[in-house]
Amino acid sequence: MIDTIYFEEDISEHPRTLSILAKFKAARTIPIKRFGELFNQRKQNFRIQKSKPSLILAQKHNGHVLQAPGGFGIGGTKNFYFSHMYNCVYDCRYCFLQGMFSSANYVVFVNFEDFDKQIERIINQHPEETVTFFSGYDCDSLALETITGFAAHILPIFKNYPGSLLEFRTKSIQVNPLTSMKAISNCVIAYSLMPEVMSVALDNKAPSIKRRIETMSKLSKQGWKIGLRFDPLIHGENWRTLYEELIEDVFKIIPQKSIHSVSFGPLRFPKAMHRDIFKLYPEDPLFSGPLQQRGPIVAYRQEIENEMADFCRQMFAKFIPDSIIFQCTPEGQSPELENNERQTYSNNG
Amino acid sequence: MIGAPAIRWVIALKSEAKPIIEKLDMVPSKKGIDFPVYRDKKGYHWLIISGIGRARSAAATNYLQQESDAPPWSAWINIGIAGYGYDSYGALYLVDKITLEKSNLVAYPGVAFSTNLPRAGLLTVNKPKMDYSEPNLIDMEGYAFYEAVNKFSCRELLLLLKVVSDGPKSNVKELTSGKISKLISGNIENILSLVVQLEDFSKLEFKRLVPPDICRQIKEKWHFTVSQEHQLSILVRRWTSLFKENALFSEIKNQKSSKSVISYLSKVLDEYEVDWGQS
Repeated sequence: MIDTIYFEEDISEHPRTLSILAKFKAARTIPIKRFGELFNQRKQNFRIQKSKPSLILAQKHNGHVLQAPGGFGIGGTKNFYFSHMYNCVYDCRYCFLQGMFSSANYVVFVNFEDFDKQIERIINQHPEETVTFFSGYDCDSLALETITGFAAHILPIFKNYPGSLLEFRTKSIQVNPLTSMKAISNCVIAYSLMPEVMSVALDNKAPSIKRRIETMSKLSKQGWKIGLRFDPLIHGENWRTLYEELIEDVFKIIPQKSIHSVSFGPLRFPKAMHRDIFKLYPEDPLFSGPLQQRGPIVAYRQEIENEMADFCRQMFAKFIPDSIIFQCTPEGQSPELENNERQTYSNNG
Repeated sequence: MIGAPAIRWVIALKSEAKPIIEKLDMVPSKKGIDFPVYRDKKGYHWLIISGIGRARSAAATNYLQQESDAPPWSAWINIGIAGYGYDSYGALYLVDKITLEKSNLVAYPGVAFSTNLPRAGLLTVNKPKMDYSEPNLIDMEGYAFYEAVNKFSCRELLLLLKVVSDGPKSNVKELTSGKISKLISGNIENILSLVVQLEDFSKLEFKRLVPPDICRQIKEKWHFTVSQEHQLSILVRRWTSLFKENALFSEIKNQKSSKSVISYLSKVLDEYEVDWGQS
């Protein structure tokens, strides 16, 4: 429950600010100049904050839409991402957001219209190509939808551009804006998945895998295209059996015609990020497994990574054509993005 | 080994501190030379009486940090009386924003507490202020306390509480030591309920920051270099997240050197397949 909301003074009268504040009548509201003065402050304790995050309402001034790293795509030739929000209501132990921001508070950017403009500009710059936009890179796309209304706002834009593609990456089972409208053919609702027993240990506060699969099934029946995201792949005892069961279950329930794409990728952290997250949660078993430093990243040993990737790819191939299976690899990054760890690693499920 | 929790109190007036000292059964510490310092029997709680004003508050905070050997998981509390234009005489407020008068400086203490206490902003002033037209609580120490603590702690381990003592209908000149003590003691249960939460945060930090005790035993048996100590600490953390801490020593007891301890633990962990059903 959010009981503190900070808001930038410049957007105090913004209709979206007023609408969000109206949903939290009992919350203490605190005006601030710029969200960065609070959010980027040093000497914050992410772990304690995560136990009771506050909400920050702000305006995004630039960088509304950014180029996605190479090795991160689902078939389109141009890939971009945007985040109307920073941070997530869930607390997944492998998530890079833990090491990305010094604050666990949620930031919601209320100037959605500026995102619209930039999305449309990019689409118009590439009239002959399929431009894919990923939502949910720095947050979960749908988890706070009842508060932000972002999905309901952005979906109609994409209706006008059927040649482009929008992916909502989520673990949320609150999908009201989707179920209350006609499915849009160029929108993919992508669910992060891992074997239930791993999810119980790692996906803190997130809906169970069973509920996610039920929600995907519901959405597919309404005509929505579904993305299956096995990213990151988690190693552990009986991992083959666990993934085999999961993959078989998913494909038994979600009809092949509803599946837009399947992607999978290894667990990976930039070295500094791994150090920071381990410092935050040194007692977590995720960091006790066979992780090792490989150049600038910390990941499972190469043979484990390859074995898991090969196994999963073969499993997927039993149910869907190769053309819609995508492997996310840190090696696939664009050279110009090499120094931008944030854009290169995306264990945000 | 110093045990958790670690709580440090910085209070301007003796009359404000008296109810806390009594409630926590604190006694004067021999270390209080520049400022009066008190501590409880276990050494979990330390309290300093700073005197009035920013300079004294900052100096006392730094003094207490050094004199009490405040560990990194210490939580810090500033409590005192304050003026308020809304004149809720005797009401206790949790401060969530501090502004330094005649500056652009603003600070935001953490708000991860579960409490129904009312909250307010605080304006820290240089001289006593009788103009209560301002929307914030008014004191003379808060910002300096925050600034001093923030050099060695984080904002989530920092708590500012103010009790309204004066306002448009409550003349500050009528305040006496007795009345001030009563203002604090009248809120002592609410104060302590927040202190319990702060203690929990401090304990959580203790567990996060301090390597398991078994590290100490291992270091007593084999000699580790500084770099090896760091490696050992990480390996022991990883090991204890999977197995019982008390089983570790027997696991490595036959190792001949610090190097072989590290090598053995690394090998075991690097080959271990986590049983997610058990974790």
